Amino acid sequence: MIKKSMTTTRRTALKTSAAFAASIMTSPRASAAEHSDVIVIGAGFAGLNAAIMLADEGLSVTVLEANNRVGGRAFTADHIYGSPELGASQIGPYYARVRDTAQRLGVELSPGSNINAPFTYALGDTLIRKEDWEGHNLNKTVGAERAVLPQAMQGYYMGKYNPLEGFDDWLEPEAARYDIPLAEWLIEKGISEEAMRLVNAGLVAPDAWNVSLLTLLQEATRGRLMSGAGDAKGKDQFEQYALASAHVVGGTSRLPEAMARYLGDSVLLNKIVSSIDMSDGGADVTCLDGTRYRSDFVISAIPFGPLRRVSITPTLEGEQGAAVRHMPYATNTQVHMRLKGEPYWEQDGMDASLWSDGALNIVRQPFGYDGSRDRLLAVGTGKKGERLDQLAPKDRGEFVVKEIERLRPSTKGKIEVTGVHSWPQYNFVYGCRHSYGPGQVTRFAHDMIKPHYRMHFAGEHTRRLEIGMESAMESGERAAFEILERTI
Amino acid sequence: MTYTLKTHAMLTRRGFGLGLGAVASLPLLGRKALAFESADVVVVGGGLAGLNAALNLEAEGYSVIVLEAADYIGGRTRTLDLPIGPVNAGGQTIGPYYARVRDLAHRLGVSMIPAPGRVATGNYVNGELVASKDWSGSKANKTVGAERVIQPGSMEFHYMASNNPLPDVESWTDGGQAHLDVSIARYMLGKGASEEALRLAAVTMNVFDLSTGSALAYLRDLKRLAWGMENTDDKSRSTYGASASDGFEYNEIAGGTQRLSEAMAGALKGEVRLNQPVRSILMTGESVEVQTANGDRFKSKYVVSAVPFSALRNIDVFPHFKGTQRTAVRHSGHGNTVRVFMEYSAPFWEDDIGEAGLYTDTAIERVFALTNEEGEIYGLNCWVNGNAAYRLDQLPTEVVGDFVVETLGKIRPASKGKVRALKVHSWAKHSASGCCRHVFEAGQVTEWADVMAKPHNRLHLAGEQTRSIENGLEAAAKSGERAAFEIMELLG
Repeated sequence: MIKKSMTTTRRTALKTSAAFAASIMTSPRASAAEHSDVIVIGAGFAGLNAAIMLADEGLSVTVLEANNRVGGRAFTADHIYGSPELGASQIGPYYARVRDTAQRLGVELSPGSNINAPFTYALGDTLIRKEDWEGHNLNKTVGAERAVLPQAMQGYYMGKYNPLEGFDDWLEPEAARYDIPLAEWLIEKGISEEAMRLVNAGLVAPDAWNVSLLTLLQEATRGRLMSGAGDAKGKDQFEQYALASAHVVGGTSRLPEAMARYLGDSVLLNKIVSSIDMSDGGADVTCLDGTRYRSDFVISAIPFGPLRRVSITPTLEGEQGAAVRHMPYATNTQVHMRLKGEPYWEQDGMDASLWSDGALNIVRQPFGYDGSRDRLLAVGTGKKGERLDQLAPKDRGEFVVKEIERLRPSTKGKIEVTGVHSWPQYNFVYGCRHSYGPGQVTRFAHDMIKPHYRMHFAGEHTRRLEIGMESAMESGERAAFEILERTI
Repeated sequence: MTYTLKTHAMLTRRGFGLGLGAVASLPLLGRKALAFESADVVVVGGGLAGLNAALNLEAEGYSVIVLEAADYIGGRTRTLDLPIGPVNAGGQTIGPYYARVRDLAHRLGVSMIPAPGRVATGNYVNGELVASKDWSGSKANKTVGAERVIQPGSMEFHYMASNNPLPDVESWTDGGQAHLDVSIARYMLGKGASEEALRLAAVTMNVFDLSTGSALAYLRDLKRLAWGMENTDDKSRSTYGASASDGFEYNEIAGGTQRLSEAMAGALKGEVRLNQPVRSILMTGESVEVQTANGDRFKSKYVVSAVPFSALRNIDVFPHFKGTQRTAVRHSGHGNTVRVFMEYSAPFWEDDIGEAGLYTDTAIERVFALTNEEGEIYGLNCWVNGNAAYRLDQLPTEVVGDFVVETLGKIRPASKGKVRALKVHSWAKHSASGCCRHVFEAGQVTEWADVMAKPHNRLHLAGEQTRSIENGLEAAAKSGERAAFEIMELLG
């Protein structure tokens, strides 16, 4: 293994970035590329964790981040009222790498994460209390389904019939039989037509026919660990996770920021990679602004959405090429709002969050960590989110407020839009998470993480055993180990 | 042809008006339950395809409602009104054999002008600025053998158009041509292209990249294009470089292509409903219910989807598409084009290589000179397509213009301080279409082409992605006509 002292690495990094600054000011194309052992593309959890591990082993690392901030899909919106989390927020009880990293870097964690008021259900134009759901005449589900709240329907079936036990069962050849549309499996399990409609109304994937059951089973299997903890029993999946989890004090962004600080000057912002050219001698990474970086190895720690915009030579082939090109990403588009005046839920006497089978998916009424309840968050996922995204950002807020006011007259005049955020439209990310289509786990999961010449793959989409933030950390660790083995 | 408006449509319109009035006084009931406008056919998408479908249906006496998601008519025939004059952001050239488009323009009194002449284009490749006449001997030219005399911007044409193996345009979906449904890279390598030639061709080709785009689909486009040029000696011009100076009648719509779409919309009996993105198409038994994002509902006997699959996939369609068609709607590939329109304060090109246009292997790909009928250059147009357009889209839109101007200044110092960006348009980012065109990937012609345009229940499919033998604007117009004919047969 190449052993360099940490100091050497840092010094190299410092020298390197000074040269970069100079090269931007002169003609970028003329300058010779600076060399590091490893270039990591993407400064989210996956890339930063890989970079820290490699740097700790004495390798020189350059992290190229396209955005003007680090963190990727960990994004505390300090520009929106209440500093909501736009992405990752829940640190599960068993997120060992995340918790360890926070502890080592002195980043404080606190129990509970993103807890919201319970739901009132809007079916068509009718509001239904959760207590009334089971017996309500608009509850057209059948048999045992009737007692299951709409947002918990998918989890109900997954929990009841999940055939997987071990966290890596989903990658076994026998699991291929579950790499089918979620809808197909639910029908086989006897779901009623109405329950299927409710599942569809809340899905993150476009619809139940376009998402692989197997990828959902992986999550559900790993998620069991969360749902068993603390007060979580009897709640729906989201509530269970929220209660059992912890959050980063001051916002999730503070953790990747601390990781980037640890790496120092080797993290470069505003570096949009346009090509990766690999030869026997090394890898050349060229950015949109014309700057070039050279290394022995490259880690792609970005989602396939932005990676497919990068020209890679030699070209990715076979199922790996298809995976990079076609991996679907899930939609999550948000409208953040501030509440004014008397609490509307006291006025109409119903639970404050809203689940809808209409144009919106859910409207959450979050509890602030300080106990405040003056915010609303509308989340559009799946096709509903894609449709919301077709409206201009400035029209999205107005549309959502109109819809909430229509469904819930007690909110009228009390909602002020404070910010919109769309993960599919957010640059350098293009989707809130990977979302295998039916058959794609079998086709892609093994091939897509294989090293390609000098290039290695990290990111939550390359997860093996974990979920959420921890899966990003896990993937960065794996990619770092792959490279460390090659540098022995 | 009859031009009578069916009475029930009139009644419906009136009913709609009453409904709205009633709603105003009964806000709690919600207007959805009351307003239910109906027609024989609802057309989703007010671009050339949808408008032509609507015109054809109305000409036969059927009532039609056209729903358009954007706030303007014309879809990808969009014209931007800029200080330098109207410029086309999308569909532009009218080929000599574009019968339907030409007929529509004549019938609707929309005037056409000759397509402007081509302006000389220099090269900035491998870090060197090289005039086109110096290209073959330049050290920046790293191509091999016969490639060396080909201008970089014509490289795709050199490899794809000469000795086109397709016997005719129609045969592209024959099983016999399936061996051509491979990636463009593989096809070109098979023709002896060097790696450098591939790299240069990737700049101009409007596919995602050469390793995924289908050669067969591209060969089809070029075979059709060859109609207009079989008798010319010029075998080196690029796909969209057609002009009237070649002795064929290439035209544009005076004032911009959107004027044609607007005239088509104007000839319809009802108004095209703007700002009406469709949310769901529900087909039950004898009718179709189309609901838009704001909750308005429309009822019809049939529905035409004349939007790209990149937009159709956001609509809930019941019953669902099935099998291969579902895959095609959900996963078909789409090209992107980012165009940056610029004005200039002095003819800077006279100070370097003398050519106003520029082909580059940098992030900005190509800069064209915009010329008027007198041949005067009135502006510049940076044209970035394929994967490079998606890359450029990653920058915040407000900085893209400056980025292009700055990059041009770096590679062409004479332009420094003399060029200003006026408007940035990205088809993937700033349009209801979500793309500039449909693109077949290798293998997809064989898999999808036959089923993509098949009617699904009461839904008929139009739009350029359902093209058979036509190109460009004509492909869109023809697809609308075909969908209209399909429905006429069913309606009797």
